Amino acid sequence: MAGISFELRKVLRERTLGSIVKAFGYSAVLSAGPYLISILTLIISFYVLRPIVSSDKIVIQFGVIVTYLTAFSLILTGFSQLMITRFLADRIFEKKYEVVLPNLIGNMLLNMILAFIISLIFSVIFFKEQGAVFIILYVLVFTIMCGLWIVNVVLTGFKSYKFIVFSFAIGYITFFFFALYMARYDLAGLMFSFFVGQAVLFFLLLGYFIRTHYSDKIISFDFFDRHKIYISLILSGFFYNLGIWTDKFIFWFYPDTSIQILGPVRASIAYDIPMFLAYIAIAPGMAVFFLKLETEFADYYDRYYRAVREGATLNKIYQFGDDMILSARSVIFDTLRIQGIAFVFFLIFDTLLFKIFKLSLLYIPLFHVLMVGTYLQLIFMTLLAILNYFDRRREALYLSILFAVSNAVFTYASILLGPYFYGYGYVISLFISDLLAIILLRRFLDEIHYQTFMLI
Amino acid sequence: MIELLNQNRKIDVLLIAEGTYPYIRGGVSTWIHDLITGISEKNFGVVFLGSRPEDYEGIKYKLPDNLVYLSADYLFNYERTTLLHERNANKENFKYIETLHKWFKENIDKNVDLPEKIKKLEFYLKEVKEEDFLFSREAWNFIIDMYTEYAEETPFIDYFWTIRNIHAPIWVVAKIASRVPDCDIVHSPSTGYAGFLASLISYHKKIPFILTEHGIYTRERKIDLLNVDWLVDKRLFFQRDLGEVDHIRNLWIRFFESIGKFIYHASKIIISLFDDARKIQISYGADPDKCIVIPNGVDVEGFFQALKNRPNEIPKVITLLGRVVPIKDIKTFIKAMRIVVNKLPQAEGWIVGPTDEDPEYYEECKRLVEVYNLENNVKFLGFQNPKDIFPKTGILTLTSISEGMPLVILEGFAAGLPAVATDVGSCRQLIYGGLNEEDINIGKAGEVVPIANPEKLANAYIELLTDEEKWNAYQKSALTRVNKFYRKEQFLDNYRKIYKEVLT
Repeated sequence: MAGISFELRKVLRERTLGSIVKAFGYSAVLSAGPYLISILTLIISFYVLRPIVSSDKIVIQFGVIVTYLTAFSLILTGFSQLMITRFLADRIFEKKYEVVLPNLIGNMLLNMILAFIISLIFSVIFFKEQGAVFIILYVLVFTIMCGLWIVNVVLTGFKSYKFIVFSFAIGYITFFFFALYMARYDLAGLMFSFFVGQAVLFFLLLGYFIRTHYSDKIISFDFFDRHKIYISLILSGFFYNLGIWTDKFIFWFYPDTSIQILGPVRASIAYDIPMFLAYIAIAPGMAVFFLKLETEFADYYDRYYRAVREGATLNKIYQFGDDMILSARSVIFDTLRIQGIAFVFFLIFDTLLFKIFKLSLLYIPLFHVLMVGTYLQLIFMTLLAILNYFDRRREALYLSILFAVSNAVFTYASILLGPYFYGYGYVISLFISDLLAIILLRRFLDEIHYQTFMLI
Repeated sequence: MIELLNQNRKIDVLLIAEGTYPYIRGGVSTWIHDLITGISEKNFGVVFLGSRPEDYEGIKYKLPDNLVYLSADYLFNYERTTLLHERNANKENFKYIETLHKWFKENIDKNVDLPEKIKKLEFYLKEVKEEDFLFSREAWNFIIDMYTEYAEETPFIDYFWTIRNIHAPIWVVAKIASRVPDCDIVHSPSTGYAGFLASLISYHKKIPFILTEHGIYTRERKIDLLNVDWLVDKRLFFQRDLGEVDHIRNLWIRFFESIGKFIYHASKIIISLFDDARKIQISYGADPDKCIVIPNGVDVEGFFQALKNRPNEIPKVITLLGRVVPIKDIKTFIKAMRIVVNKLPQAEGWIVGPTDEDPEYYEECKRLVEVYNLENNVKFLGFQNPKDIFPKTGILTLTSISEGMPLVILEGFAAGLPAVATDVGSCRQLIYGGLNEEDINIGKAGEVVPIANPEKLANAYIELLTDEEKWNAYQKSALTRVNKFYRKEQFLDNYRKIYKEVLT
């Protein structure tokens, strides 16, 4: 499955407009596939299920609960995501293939056990009124999602994109069809369907991982070895995921911008729905970013480091370094460009889009603001990805913390300033983070040769 | 790391042993051991400089009582616990390094005194620190500039690591110099990093520094460098001038030449083992007034029994005493043996010495023996006591392509064995006599032949094994020469005198 860039390049080599569209579509599915599949399935099921369940409220409750589960599971596993991917990649580099599977399982179980305990305590305290069935389903879904993210991030790291997309599709189709029947049991029925869908997805990914990695051990915890992991990765994974959700949390829990949904669970309909749409709107940018990073940039990157290792002259190293930097630039600029076009497209067709989804046109101004925000978040992802390519862990950590903190501060400020300013907090936070990311990336690239030789 | 310390006794002479005593057996180690045990009235200290800790198995000698201090440090121990950090160093100081480089480049052959700054420890410990050299932007720019100026065509990574690897030990050495205990004299048996350390100690503590050069370090390094295979010249054939040595090798050679010059400057007395070596030292920049020759000596009485045990007739055995490594050129010996056996089928060639140092070379030698069909004539005996081997031997031989002063020839002499050796190191002086008129008049104690010439070697062997009269004459000269000029007591007395002399 690792040959994605190769396949993409093969398609691109045909050099026709059609082939570009094909490669672009292909990489759109691979890069944005999982999140598009989940968001779209949930949105579609929202409209399909409404007539089946007893009241609209239940579908809304379900949607919000799923959002919560996603947010908290991503943040909780954020501690592990980058760390374990790097840990396993390092072991593969050392050719210790047999430790990969047991450590993945070890880390995954660790996250799942933590998830189980935390969600159990949480739901017993806050969801007493919803009853035992709800509590059990809530805990199960949360636990399985935490396991799911770990396997998913590692498989993504190993570039098994195709299988991931396939599994997400199967998982969410399963959910959808279960839900059609189970919706008559209200919230518990929907939760159960979601659990089944997530379980199918989880076991598909896990099964794939087990099938492709051999080991005679089932579980191990080598990743607790302080010398084999990077604390900076643990923290930056956490802060990055926290940052993504910070503005949402604030909108959910600020009294004026939210309503109570279920127990302590609150939602901000005014903020959440435009946000969802704004996230869908960056799919084109993600596709281009993925395409450029995986095909062009990866090539130049390899060429530079190969020249360094295999004894090229300094002139060649300089030249390959320049090529690589230009390529990094073009990854960023092409992503910006395509997303810019997509941005205009969404601006033009915003009313139409809102009508299709039967949404109130009142959300459109906020949607515009949030689209700028997700646009900037896309750039942030791009810059972080390039920094991570160069293993700039410290910079990635600073940026993640900055993003999380500034998002909290500015979002809160934007709420205090009134509805007219909603969304600007998120935008400004990302604008600052992007700016700093560009400065740090530039500073690194300016002395990349020094860094490469003297500091390894 | 300090291995041994007897603080109650002050160190009289501090010896600096680079890759030798007491962790490795061999010529220089034996020399150090003999010196310490021989001059028992003085207290010695040894600073051992190794490459990496894993290269050594442990102490190989019974340490004498008058060795009161022993420390072990490693020049290429790159295990770092601290995080690497980008840093900026003082620009002025790096400018100074540049000037220094130019200075050495221009003044290498002239007798100009060294810049004061580089004699001071503070320069290495405070002004341009190890971290500055390893991690700073200035160091990077410096390397880039040097590369662009001198080595643009060479693989940059090789150049980069060469620069790092040759310079990094300087800071290891500077740190050692700042913490060695007090002593009266510092004595180094080689130039290189050991000699550099001795020089720094000498400047820092203001004590005399004596240099004894066994081989000529700079020259040996040259031979090593021309033979190492990790330095692959990646340039195309047409990019090279005929016979040109590529820049990285030149860099090492120049570095050791510069350091050698620094050390010659620092030392109060420069000792060589034989006269040719003295001439080479002078050609590398040593002040002729400081240069003297003190040959090694052997324990002649110790070989008396071996001499007495000799059978009446000359055994048809040629013994090569040495490690089975390329520098000893065992292959030429095997080839020569083929020619000898053609004439004298009963002749045998014994190779006496450890075979585990270069297993690959050993395998090649064994295969060569098979190919030449010499399984019954050429034998690898491993490590043996020379005193047992000498009486069963007719000729002692050395086929090395490089030697300093091979003690084994003198030991053979003491046991009544003529020698056939290649024309390296002091072999000519030992075998033909060369210390003075009197020495020459004693006559030949064997034959000297060119290196890597099996035919000439074989002819010398055959002649000596078949001409009893000649053999007897050579034996007589051998015994006379070793007794007159190369007794251990004479050697020790010379050093006693020198130690006394430098202190007054």
